[in-house]
Amino acid sequence: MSEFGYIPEAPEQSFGNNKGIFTPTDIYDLTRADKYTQYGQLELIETVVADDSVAYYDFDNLGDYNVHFLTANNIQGASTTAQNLDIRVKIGGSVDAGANYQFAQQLGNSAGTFSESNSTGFNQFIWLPNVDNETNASANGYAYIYNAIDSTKYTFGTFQTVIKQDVHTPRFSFGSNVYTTANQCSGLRVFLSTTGNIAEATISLYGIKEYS
Amino acid sequence: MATNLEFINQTKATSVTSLDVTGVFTAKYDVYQVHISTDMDGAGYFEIRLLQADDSLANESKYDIASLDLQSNTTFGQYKFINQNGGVGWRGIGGYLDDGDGYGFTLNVFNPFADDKFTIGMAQSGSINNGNLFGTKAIGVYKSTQSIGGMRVTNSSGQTHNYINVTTYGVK
Repeated sequence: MSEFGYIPEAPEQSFGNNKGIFTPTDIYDLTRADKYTQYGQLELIETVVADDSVAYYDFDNLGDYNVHFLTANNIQGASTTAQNLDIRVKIGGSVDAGANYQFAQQLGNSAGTFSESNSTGFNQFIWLPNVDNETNASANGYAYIYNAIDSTKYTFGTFQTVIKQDVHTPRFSFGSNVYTTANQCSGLRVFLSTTGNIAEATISLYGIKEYS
Repeated sequence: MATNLEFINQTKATSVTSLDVTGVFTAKYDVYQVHISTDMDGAGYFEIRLLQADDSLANESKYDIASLDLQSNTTFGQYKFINQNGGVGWRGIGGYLDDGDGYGFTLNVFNPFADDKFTIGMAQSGSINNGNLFGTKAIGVYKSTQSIGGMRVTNSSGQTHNYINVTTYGVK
């Protein structure tokens, strides 16, 4: 009997089109070849839980995903002074902190104040503004990162956040970022952009699986 | 309720002015997520025109679009249109492209296949225009109950895309 229970030969297998009887070894082999149907294309790469011990977390495994998805849950910073939780790319293992980034973001709050900010020569992707650790303060958001592993294209990002500081009305931000160097990123650093450690946070990096 | 993305299809093309992605919206899901990467050396607005379940153009003049254009070098702009025709569709829902430096775009689509509901899209993107970031946060509504099965990805000026990769997921 040939592969997958077929005689004399097995049909071609592909995602969404598997036929036959599969042994654990078959499933392992087909999965490694991206030819076995397993739904769930939002694939968790890593989750970090902050414990007030460091100011940044490195996500050094980007896998082979063209699109990444970051979530930030219950972020609290180092003090009652508003800080930002931002992102830098890593190239060959080193963080690029140069002025190689651009951003544009819209901000607003429930008190009716809306504003925009931008830069053509920034030092990081912006993400969560006004992170602090007042009572009941919490910052939350997500970001998509595009083309990070493509050495021929710029790396782009889009994001949206919601922030509650104790002394302010709830606020939001959304926007876009670009890293204006065509380079393959080896990782992402999520960091507090001012002195101090990340007091609380759950930050997850996902890859969005594709099949060609 | 568990939530996840379920891969449906990836459609690719190189050196084309448009790409039709057909048969991806079905009765199986109500909500979809679409990721598009592309590259274009010439300049033009990114466009999505919807395709009906029989792959023909969704051609009613009922495309509404509203986009906040988030630019790194100047005051933010707006792109908006009411009752756009099917030959233009959701123009501007993914901003403006040129320079050939890549692109990132995510579109969430609601109820495209249902023949008793409008098709609604929410999008965000990042691209480069004349060396500066051009991001968008946008909505599109096709105010028709035509059953939608796919989309045409193209641009406003007939420019050639060096490549277009469209990956569609059902939201479980």
